[in-house]
Amino acid sequence: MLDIAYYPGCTLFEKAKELDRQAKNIANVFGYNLTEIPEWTCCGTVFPDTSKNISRLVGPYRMLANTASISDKLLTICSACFNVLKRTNKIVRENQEIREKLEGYTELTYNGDIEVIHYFEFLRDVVTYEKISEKIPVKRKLKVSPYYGCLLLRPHDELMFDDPENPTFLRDIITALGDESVEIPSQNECCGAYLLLNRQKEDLNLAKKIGLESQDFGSEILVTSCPSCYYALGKSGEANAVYFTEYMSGALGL
Amino acid sequence: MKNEINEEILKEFKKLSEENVHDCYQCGKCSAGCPSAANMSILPHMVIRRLQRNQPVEAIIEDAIWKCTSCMTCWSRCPKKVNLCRIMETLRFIYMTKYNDKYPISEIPKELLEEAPQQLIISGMRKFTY
Repeated sequence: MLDIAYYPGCTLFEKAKELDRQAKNIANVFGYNLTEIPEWTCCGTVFPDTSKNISRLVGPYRMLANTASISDKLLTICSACFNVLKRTNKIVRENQEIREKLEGYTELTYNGDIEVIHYFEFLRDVVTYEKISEKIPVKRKLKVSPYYGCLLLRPHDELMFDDPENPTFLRDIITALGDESVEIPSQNECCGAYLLLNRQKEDLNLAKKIGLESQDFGSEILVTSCPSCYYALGKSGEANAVYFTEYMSGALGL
Repeated sequence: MKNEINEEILKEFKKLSEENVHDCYQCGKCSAGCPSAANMSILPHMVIRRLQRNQPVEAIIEDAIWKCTSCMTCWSRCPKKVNLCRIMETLRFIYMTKYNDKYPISEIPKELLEEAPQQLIISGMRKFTY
C-alpha cells in the first residue's frame, strides 16, 4: 500500500461522509492508502477574489505548509477544496509579497512547491483508466451523464485540469467502467447552489434545467463530485444525482 | 453628493479589484453565457458599462451582483480576459463594508443549515456577509 497525503475538508467529514469512505475504499482496491494530513482545518471554500482578503488565504496556506513536510503531493476530493488549495498554491508560488504576508501570519515558511491534485487526476494519471477497466467484474452498460460543475474547470489558467468548455475526464471514467456516457449540454454549467441561501424560488431553476436535460437525453444517473452540486441537484427533484464514488463503487462491486 | 459617493466607491473598487474595466469592449459574451442572466435586473456586461461610465452606484443597487453565482463562465470566455467574477465579488464586498450584510446568518432558515453541505453554507456566508 502506498500512502498519499489526503485532505478531506469539512463537508466530507460531516455531510458527505460516504464520499470520503467510498473514495478511500476505491483507492485501497488499487493499492493506495489515503492518509489524512495532521491538524487540517477548513479551507474557506471560496478563493478570495478581492486583493484585500489575504487573511482568507491563511487557512489553505497553513494546510499546504503542513503538508510540505510530509509529502510532495496533496490529494483532495471536494471541488471547492481543490479550487481553493490549488489557486492558493499558485499564488504563493508566484507572488512574493503575498507569500511574505502569509508567512508573517502563520509563522510557517512555504514556497508553493507541493502539487495539489484532485481525485480524478489521481485516477487518470496515477491509477490509469486501463487498470480501472481491468477491475470491473461485469460491465453494467448503464446510461450515465457526467456533470462537471464549475470549480474543477474554471479558471483554467490556474487549475490546468481539463478543458473548461469541453471537459472529458468524467466521460473517460464512465467509459472505462463499461458504461455509456450521455453528455448533456449543461454538463459544465453552474448548478446555482450558491444562490440557495438567497431563498428565492428561481434559484433551483438552474439545477432543474440540468436534471431535465439528463432525463431528455435518457440517462439513468447523473454523476458529480461536488457536494454543493449534489445537494442542489437532489433538491431540484428532477435529477437522479449520485456521487461519482458511489457510482464507481457499484461498478467495482464494492 | 451622488458624485462624491461614486468617486469614493470607484477609488475603493480600483484598489480592491485591480481590474481595468476599460479593457471591456461590450461584446456581451459574458451576458450570453451567464447562467443567472435571465434572473438579473441588468445584464452582466451592463454592470461593467456602468463602471466604465463612472457610475458604480448604479451598478451596486441592482440585484445582478447578488444573482451572480461565481461560476467564472464569463471570465473564462471573455475575449479580453476581464475578470467579471472578480468585479462582482468586489462590488458585493464594497456594498457590504459600506452598508450591511446582505443576508445575516440569523436569517438563514434552520432546516437549510441542517441539511445543506458545509461547503455551501460557508461559501454562502462568505458571499452574503462581511
